[in-house]
Amino acid sequence: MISGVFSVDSKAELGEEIREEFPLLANNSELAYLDNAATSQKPESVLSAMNRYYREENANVHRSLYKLAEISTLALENSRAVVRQYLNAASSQEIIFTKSSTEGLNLCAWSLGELLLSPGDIVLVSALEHHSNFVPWQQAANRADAKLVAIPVNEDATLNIDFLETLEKDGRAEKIRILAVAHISNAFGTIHPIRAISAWCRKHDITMVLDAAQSLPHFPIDVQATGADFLVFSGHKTYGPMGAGVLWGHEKWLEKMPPWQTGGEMISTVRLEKSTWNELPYKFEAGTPNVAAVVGLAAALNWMIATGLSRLETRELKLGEHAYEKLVSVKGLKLYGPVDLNQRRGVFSFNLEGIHSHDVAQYLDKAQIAIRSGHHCAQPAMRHLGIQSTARASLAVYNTIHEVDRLVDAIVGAREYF
Amino acid sequence: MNELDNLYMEIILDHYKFPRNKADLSHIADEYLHENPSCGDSLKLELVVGGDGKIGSVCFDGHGCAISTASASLMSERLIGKTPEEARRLIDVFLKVLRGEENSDSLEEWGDLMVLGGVTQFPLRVKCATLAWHAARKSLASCTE
Repeated sequence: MISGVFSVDSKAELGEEIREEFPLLANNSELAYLDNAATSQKPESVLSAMNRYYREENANVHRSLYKLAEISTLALENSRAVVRQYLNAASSQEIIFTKSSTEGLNLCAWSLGELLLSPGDIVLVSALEHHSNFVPWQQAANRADAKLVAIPVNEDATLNIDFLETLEKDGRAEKIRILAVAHISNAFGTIHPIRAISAWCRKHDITMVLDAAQSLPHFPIDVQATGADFLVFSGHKTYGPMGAGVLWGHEKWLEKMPPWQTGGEMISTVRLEKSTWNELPYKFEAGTPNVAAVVGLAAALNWMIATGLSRLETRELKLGEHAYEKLVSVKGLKLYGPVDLNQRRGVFSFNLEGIHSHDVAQYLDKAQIAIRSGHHCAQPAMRHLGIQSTARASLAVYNTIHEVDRLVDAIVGAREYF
Repeated sequence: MNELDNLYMEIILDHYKFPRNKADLSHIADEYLHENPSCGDSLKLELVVGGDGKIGSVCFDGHGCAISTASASLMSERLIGKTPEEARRLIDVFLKVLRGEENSDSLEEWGDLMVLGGVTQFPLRVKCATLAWHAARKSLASCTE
């Protein structure tokens, strides 16, 4: 993994008591929540930080001079500092708060697209992308009269990296301006070879956008070590609240990029005929930000650091190993994704022979097991692999071995029911 | 698992395992595919009105869960022999019931189809149950009044 700055700690192994730190789970002792790739539950410390913000610190940020506004502004900027440190970004100016990963990717697609794309250029994505890292690029390419090309998928839901060589040989590599790829596939849990891809991008002078929505919840990321130019992640999949996400970008790019949304906060001067833009990161933060959610996001990162990043990862790896071994042993169950556990994380996508994933999920719900079913907002990937839908169980640190065993038992039950 | 049995009634499971009027419709172009965007289920429907002005056959093809397959199967049986106008009225009532705008008692005289009224207790599955019906309404819209 791309290790971050806090990866060393030697405390004892995390146990199941971690589940008690999450009020929703503590209040639903029978619930096996296994839809963490969609959103995670939130620890008490996140909920209380947000509650405290609205009870004690709420005022609009940046513009007013009274004490409360100063406190609120500080809450926002301290959160930015927490994110900067967590990602090991060069400066806080490179940390832009968005409402979600989707918004961060749209910002990139619009603004970077406008800066870099000309007719005939190519935007390269992968066929395994979530729609949020696919459709914005498809539309940006359309606007610029450029072309969208997708790296194909192998049978085991890994990327066919040999395709990059094909692009070099047929000359298309020279036309690629932007490459947008996920760190981990939300549909299959595949970890993509990010550093190999970013090295290839360097070689061809391609700007790289990394969607870390599915990876940041599982291990720390040093943005400077990824080799990417941009990275997005979502607070709500990372034990934080909905409504706050992050876009990190290299200052050299952010400086050149035109603003995406315009309005208050993002301007420097406004005249009738033209305006000038505020400095970074505010140029990209038009309108009143969701300060409480940002405060919650920072509290979530702090919770992960305080709990111990390596302890979190160790516990998850153990759960994942157990889930993998149990699931592959179920008769009639087809588990998608890489066979090598080092190439996958967190997500287990599967189908039961002759039973639709919706019906599996409905059956599991009655056993108080929450999983997702459907196409997981990754229709191109599904089509590539020739599947309509899958059932998907995804893990977080508060899941237990017992919950995984219940999942497997209920899958066997579903097989018999239908 | 009682509540689950209310959804997966025997009739539904029977129509799921042995769908009626399911046929290979690969001759119909994919652009006529009806899709449920929330789950990726897709369905093609072929509805033929005979010389007597009545629906002579309803066939469907596609990939769906137990609810959407059973619903398409039950619907196909129900619509055969109806005029397009009668079929449109039936579809509208069904969709209203599934949206919760009309009491499911309205389906009481519909025979086996009544079991689909149970889906209203599972709001997230309503889209599954209505996919074929939306497809049929679209097909009928192109029929003359």
